[in-house]
Amino acid sequence: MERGDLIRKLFRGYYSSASIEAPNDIGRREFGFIFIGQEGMRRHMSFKSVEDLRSFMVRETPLHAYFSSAYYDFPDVEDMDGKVWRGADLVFDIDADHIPTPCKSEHDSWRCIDCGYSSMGMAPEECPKCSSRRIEVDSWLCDFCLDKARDEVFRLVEEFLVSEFGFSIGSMLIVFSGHRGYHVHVRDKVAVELSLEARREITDYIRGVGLSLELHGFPSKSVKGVIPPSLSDPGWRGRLIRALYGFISSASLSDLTSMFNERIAKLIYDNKDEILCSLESSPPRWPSISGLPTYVWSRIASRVVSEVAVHIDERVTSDIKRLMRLPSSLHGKTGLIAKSMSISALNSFQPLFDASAFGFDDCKVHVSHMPRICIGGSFYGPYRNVDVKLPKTIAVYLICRGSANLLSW
Amino acid sequence: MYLSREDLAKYPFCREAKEYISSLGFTIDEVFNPDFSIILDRVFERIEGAVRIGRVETRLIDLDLEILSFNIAPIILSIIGDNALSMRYAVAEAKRVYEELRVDDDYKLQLISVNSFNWRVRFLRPGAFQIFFADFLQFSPAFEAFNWKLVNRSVIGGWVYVSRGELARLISERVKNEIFSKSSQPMPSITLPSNVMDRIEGLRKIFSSYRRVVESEEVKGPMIESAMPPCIRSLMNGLLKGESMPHMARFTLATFLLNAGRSVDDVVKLFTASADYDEKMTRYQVEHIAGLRGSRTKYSTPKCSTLKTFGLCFPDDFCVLKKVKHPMTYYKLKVKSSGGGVGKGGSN
Repeated sequence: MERGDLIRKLFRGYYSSASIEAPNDIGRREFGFIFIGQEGMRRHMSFKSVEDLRSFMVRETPLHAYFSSAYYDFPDVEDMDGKVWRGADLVFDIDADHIPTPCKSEHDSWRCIDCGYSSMGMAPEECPKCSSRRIEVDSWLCDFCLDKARDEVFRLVEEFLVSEFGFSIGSMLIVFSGHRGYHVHVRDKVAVELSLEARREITDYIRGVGLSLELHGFPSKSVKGVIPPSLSDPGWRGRLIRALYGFISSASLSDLTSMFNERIAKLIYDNKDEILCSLESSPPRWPSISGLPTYVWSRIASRVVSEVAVHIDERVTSDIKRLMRLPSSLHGKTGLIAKSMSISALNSFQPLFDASAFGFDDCKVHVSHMPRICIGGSFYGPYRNVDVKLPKTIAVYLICRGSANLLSW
Repeated sequence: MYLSREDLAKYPFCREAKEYISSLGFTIDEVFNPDFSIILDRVFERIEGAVRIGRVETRLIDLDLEILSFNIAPIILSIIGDNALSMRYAVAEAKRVYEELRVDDDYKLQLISVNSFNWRVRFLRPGAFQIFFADFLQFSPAFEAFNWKLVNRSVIGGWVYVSRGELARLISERVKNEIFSKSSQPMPSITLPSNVMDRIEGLRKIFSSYRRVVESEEVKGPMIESAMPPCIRSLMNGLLKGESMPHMARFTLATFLLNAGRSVDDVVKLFTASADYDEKMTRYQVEHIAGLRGSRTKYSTPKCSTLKTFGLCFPDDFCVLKKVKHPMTYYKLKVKSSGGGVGKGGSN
């Protein structure tokens, strides 16, 4: 059977027995679909009920299914202005592709479309050889990467959305994307009414963009004698000083020499205890160690910002008309279910098992290429042009991403 | 705690002031009744003050006069129908309100925020408040200063700390927006008494002489490549190399080029280098941005802070030195300093 037909058959099998989850207010949402063997997206569609949506999914069997974060008066009008926008869920996308993980150098690779240069690991923004930005990424499902993404979801939800923005857990839906990340949908009235500008500010807040260390109590060349943040401070003040504290307490001398000259690095390293002690004191004070300039604290803080910010995709959150993957639909690149859950279920969520649509009986496939990956607690690969028996969920994943052909089901 | 009638005269935009006007049973027709010419006098005085010195004075002699004239001024402005004038007036009134509130009692700021705007504001201690983040974000993005960015604020449980001065600034920005939007509403055509028409004419004349020539964003003349800001240059290089670019990058580049005087055809041609070029689609989108399609809005280039959000900002020394906040400003300043002679209207 041809690959497209096979995927269609598999997906149809899933949709004919799956229960489709409709987003709230389904009649005011725009839907969009990508189909096997067709270019582009069929969008500006709307459904009155979950039954309509479900019979469409069974009949048409899309490869990818999306719905708008926005609520419209006329979701099926093609002209975006004609839809009449009435608000949108506040949405976040956390993708392992944007989080540096050491295992990427073992399973992911990238290739420059222009000069052909390729390498293992996380894709750079631009090719180091020809500085082209046309980069092709070959990324794989990986337990470790997905765990990192999950950690970021917890920090986003618990630290930022609940403690700092005051949203209730009950207003949030967590969705495993079906591939390498998670989506968070906030459907609180306050969130739905936020303007584009407000969402940009929230995006910057969560990513730590435009952060002024001075305004959070860090000394600079022009501002001295500011009150230092305390380790128990809420918001960015506390986050920054805790990150600084954590960095200093665990820094090796070579960590420090990578940032400062040897004299300063040694001063910090040798006075660790005194530094940590003055940050812990109440009220806190900036350590005064003779010979140590005050800018070092800001220098360290600006380095650790990216570790304590959350790597959300800024384009998703600051877009008020975004199409998001439909929970309970299959991801066309993996054959995994975009699974929705509450935050309390996220802790025990196991992407491969809980999002599996095809089970774990063995089937036989010819694998053209697959690095060694760890998913669902087991290692698979590396394979190159071999016939192997694999659990169906893994086999469908390889078929969907074009790395395998089915031999027998 | 409540607002006195004197407070209503200082803050005639608040809900209590509007209720007070309704209780007087005053109608629009009466504005032009010669018996009430004293009100119209004060209306024109307010607007003239704004035009001449950018200020409106608070006068607490005839309180009713203050309350009425403030609320009638936008009607007169909407009859005049000049947005620049309306904005100048709105800014001047907002400044007045800010200066009053800044030194007024804390409870008044709270009453106004809560009762008139439905903001969630809590009094914390003298001179310090907390405002709900969604209310804070209604107007804070309009302020450029770093301390107005949410990331530089203390945010706890949805609440943002603000000082009295800052809350006064938010309130006055809200007032500015309200005045401007009321002043730019189209008026049903009414026949005005000739003396009122004369006064409006007079006001128009004063304004045109005081009006600084407001530079349009658009710059005419050939584009000077060396004056392009670093963000645009980087996008341009990417495009010419045939990289595929995210939507925001294309949008920024297209709006910049169109506003810098390039034609739709030029811009479309430029995008042929793009990785996934589709002439029909590109033309449609560029025409949309140029205001030739859809809502007919001509789009502006995103400002620097927006580009920063999208990771498209790569400031150079000139950006830092001149504290540039908008790519177009960079371009105009560079063109001017290079003596390119490509100011308004091009070379003669």
